[in-house]
Amino acid sequence: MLDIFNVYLPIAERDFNALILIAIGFSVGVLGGFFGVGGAWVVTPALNIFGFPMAYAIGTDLAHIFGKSIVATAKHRKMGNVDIKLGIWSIIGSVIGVEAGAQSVMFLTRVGLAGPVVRYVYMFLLFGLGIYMIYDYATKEQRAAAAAAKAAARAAGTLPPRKAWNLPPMMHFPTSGITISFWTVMGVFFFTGYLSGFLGVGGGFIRMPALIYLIGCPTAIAVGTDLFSVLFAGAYGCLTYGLKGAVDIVAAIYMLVGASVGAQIGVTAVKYVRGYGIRLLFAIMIILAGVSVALKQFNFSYAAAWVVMCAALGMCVVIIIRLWIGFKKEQAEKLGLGH
Amino acid sequence: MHYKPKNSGVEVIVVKTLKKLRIFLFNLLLLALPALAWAAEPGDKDVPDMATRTVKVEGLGAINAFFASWYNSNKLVFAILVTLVMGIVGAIIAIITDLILKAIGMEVSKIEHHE
Repeated sequence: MLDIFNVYLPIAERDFNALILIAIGFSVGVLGGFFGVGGAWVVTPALNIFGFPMAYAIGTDLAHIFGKSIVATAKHRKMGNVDIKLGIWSIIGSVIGVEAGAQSVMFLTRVGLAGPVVRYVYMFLLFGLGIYMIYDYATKEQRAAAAAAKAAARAAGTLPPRKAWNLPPMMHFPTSGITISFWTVMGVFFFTGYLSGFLGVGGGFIRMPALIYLIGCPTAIAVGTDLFSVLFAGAYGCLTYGLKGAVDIVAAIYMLVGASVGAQIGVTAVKYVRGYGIRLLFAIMIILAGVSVALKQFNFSYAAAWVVMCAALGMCVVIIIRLWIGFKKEQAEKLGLGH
Repeated sequence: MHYKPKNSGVEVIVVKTLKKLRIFLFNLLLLALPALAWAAEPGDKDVPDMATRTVKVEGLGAINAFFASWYNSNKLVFAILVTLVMGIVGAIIAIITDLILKAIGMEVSKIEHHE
């Protein structure tokens, strides 16, 4: 019945259902706009499930990520969520790190260990980050109380001032409101880039928490700034995979139609969800992605793809519901003020 | 009472210069670290090489034929075309969606950052 939505893909030279492409694009767009990630880790297995030719999956995915990131970054910028200066430094640090990570994988490939090592590091990272973020969410009240007590003690002079890593040159990022050592910035982005190159992923899901926990950005700015970096990675990926002839442009356009609408919804939802709420949902999402990688490690590839796709769809529903609740609340407040 | 000798102007300048030199050298050392990454030989990424592949153009609609013929004749133009189309289509849809969201009252402006 759904065959009427089949379209011909001129580069992959086959028919494919346009509704599936739009739906995948939409769900990844919502996630990307809300979490500040590219979402290749959802798209590739999802395309795989529906029989999209895998030779074109990565290139097509990167092409649509580029288009979607333009939409999402522009909107985040409008909301004051993009720290361009920090974003540029993140690109510089990441490029160096990605190359170093890729070299490490080449070494592991030569000694025949690349596959399992990369997959176990990936699992450790996803589960570790997810569990840490949930712990951080669960203990936020206690930590806020402890920090307030320490600040009071410092003010009273009973506690020595906190020592910070402040090796010059220091850098100031007015949008994020932070002053930090150049070396911390470069070290963090080198490290996230390294992991990205090592794991062969875009790295948005590593950079976003790093911006929050290691650099000290507010969550919404971490999301917007990460998308700014994803935009450049997507543009490079789009061009380089295009040169290699591995992009089906028609499939990418259909995905982009869904992703652009989804990204607008995801970005708007950031307005209604507090920073810790975004962190909690992100933690749940990456733990489910970790489950998917674990299933793949034990040769349950089909189940792994379904887990990540269902997780993405479920999270989309949660984000849209949160957006709708926040929007209704805002409308009610406006009406209340009007009377 | 302890006597604390006063540093002369020259001593202060020497101490400051040494401090700056120490920071400079430490910066140089940290800058050199990533260079280790290039010590190993670069390797090929796991990308399918389809640079010489051609696709069928006959019987395709105008838009599909346009993309397919550039794909066959010049991969650089095809790559630039893909990048431009993605940017332009993304921007157009963003403007339309923005207008729709504004019409239903979901417009966005600068937000306060609450954690």
